[in-house]
Amino acid sequence: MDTDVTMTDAAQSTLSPVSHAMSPPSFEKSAINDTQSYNELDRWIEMLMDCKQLSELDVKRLCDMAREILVEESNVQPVKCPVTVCGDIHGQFHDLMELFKIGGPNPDTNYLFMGDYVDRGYYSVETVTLLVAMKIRHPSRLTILRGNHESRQITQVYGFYDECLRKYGNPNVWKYFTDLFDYLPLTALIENQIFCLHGGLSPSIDSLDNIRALDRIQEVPHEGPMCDLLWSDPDDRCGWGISPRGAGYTFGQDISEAFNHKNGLSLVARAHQLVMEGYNWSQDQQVVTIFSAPNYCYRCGNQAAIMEIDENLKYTFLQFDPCPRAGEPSVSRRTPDYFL
Amino acid sequence: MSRNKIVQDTDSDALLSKVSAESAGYYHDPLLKLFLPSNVDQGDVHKLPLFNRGTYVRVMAVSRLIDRFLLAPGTEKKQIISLGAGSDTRPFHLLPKHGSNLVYHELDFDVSARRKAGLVAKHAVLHSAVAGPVEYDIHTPEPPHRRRRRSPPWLFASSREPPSQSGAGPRHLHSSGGSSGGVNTPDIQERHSASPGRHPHESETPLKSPSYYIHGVDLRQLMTPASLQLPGIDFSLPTLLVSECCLCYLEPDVSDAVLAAFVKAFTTSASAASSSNQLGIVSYEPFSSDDQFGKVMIHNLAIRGISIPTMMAFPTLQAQVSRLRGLGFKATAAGDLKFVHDAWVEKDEMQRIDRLEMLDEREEFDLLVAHYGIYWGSTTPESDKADYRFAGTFEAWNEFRRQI
Repeated sequence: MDTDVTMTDAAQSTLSPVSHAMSPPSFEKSAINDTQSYNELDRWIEMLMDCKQLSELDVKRLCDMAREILVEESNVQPVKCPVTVCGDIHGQFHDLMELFKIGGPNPDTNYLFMGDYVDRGYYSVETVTLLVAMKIRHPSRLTILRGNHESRQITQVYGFYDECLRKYGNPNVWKYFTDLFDYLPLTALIENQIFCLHGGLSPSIDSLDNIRALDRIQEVPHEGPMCDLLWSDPDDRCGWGISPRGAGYTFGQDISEAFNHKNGLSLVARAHQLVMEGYNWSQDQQVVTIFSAPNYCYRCGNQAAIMEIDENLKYTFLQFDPCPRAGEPSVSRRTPDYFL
Repeated sequence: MSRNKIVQDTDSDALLSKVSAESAGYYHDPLLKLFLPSNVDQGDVHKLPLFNRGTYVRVMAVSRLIDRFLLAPGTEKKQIISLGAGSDTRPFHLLPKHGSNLVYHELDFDVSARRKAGLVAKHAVLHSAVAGPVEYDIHTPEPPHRRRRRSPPWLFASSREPPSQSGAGPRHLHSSGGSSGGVNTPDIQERHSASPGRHPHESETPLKSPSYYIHGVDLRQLMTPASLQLPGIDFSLPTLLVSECCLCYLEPDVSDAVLAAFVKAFTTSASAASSSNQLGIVSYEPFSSDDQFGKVMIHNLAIRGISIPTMMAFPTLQAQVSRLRGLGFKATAAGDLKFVHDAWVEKDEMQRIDRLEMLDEREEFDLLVAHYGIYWGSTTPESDKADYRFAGTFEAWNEFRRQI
């Protein structure tokens, strides 16, 4: 079993385009290899940067291309520094633009996003389409992990499904994307030191090899290791606890210390929880939470943050506020709900 | 849109929230759907899990305080006066349960009061919950220049569909046309100038019965004890005032005056003098805490034209409690909805609601509900006591865990 796992990992690693030296796009492992496709991708990215959605057909082509790239990535995708690590975005497109202003444009800056691109905000379609297009354009310079909202079930409750239906008149785009989400890697590992994922640890997982052995190409299950990685939270209490969210677990400092020690890690970086300052250290700096949706749901008043990791693995947090923009939410758009 | 109209529309928010929480299984209230406008289907109302849970906590907290008041031993007959009652279904659940031991008054804008009376007349299940002969006065004159398409679309349409056409059983006593020409007017001044000679309370109780009254009245008219002489209100009964997100829309000095009028009327009036002088209040409203969430909330509500002056005037739970104590509610307790959620929901019940929906947004839920307060207070005991414990009819309220 162990031997199989290691072999799988080795295979994945050799396929992974992790070189961070400046290299022309054509040298990257990519689903596209002709100038015409790059031109088209650049045109799509330009449109999306203006918050304009692609046609249904183009979304299908985009998802087909992205799948070819993502299927090659590991459940523990290796990432080189320097890289900027980001948390939840949740369809807050204009705040994502602000994030790129603060952190620098891709591909000049390498990015690692830890999931939750869709739901809650008004622009899940534009946000996730843009990130997927950027992934295809520069696969080695952008890593996109799966969050618990990259799921068929959750997106039907929290808005992405409804938004696709509203913007395209049918659920096809939702289907293309949620089918693609099954291929997103679950975790990433920066220079074998910083372990990045959306949620947290799992009682079913001791080692990174356990994660590498998972068959991730499926809907996020209701329980089990894959579910836990996307749903769990750190907690002040020791050991494993029942999560108030109804999925995943809470884990104490003893758990994260043991996990980091066993796997030779210096830090677990994760997202998933709203933190008012945009980032929050916990468990004696074994775990850091990063949340990149400022004024979450246009209601919470929180700051957002991203974590810049330089070539010496030194990290710096950059905080930012919602970008000021005309009329959003405005009278024409629903303001967030309150109990009245 | 007039400020009155904007405040009236907040009832749609409350109703849709309740319908959504009910549909998700948080609590059972088959009457809610009767209040939905015809263009809204119950199955189409979906609020997020965190919102459903918050609505559940709010409804549960207010209901428990009311139930405990009604079940208190001592004087058999009790009275509830619900301010800005909107589409609240409580009277139709409580009246059959408590029979002649309960008199239930609902006060709301004239237009809202008539709309509700019209729905009671229309639906046998509501009408039959009200014991004894029921008199309706639900004719709503609408001046021609006001006949326009209403928005938002989920507004009730009962004024366009007179209940008299519904074929329901109860008799209707229509007021003589035009007598309430001030209906829908944007403010008190305009209302008074529109009908200068009119008695302030004439034709303003669209539903009268021995146990249930719906009064159409602008709360800003109720700033003196004399103005509280509405049909059926009995100042000798132990009485509970209920304000669910209602008084908060008034300027603090106005809502203070309204509450002071109630306290005075129930503790010093001639009819009250011979009784046990007991007035209680259950109030639910947001407070801001002066933090980022509160600032964003004030901003977002302002986009809809809603202002909640008490959020600024009383930014903390303690400030609200001190205010109520200063107004004569000698025993007063409070908790924010987060506290109530954590402290009042029993283990079994918590397990039940945990199973209803996956609550992904736990931190957002905590943040949201920490900005709403439930306050419960009573004018008894009359002397100030350091522990602010409840006595008399309200003694049972000591059972509820309090944050303050």
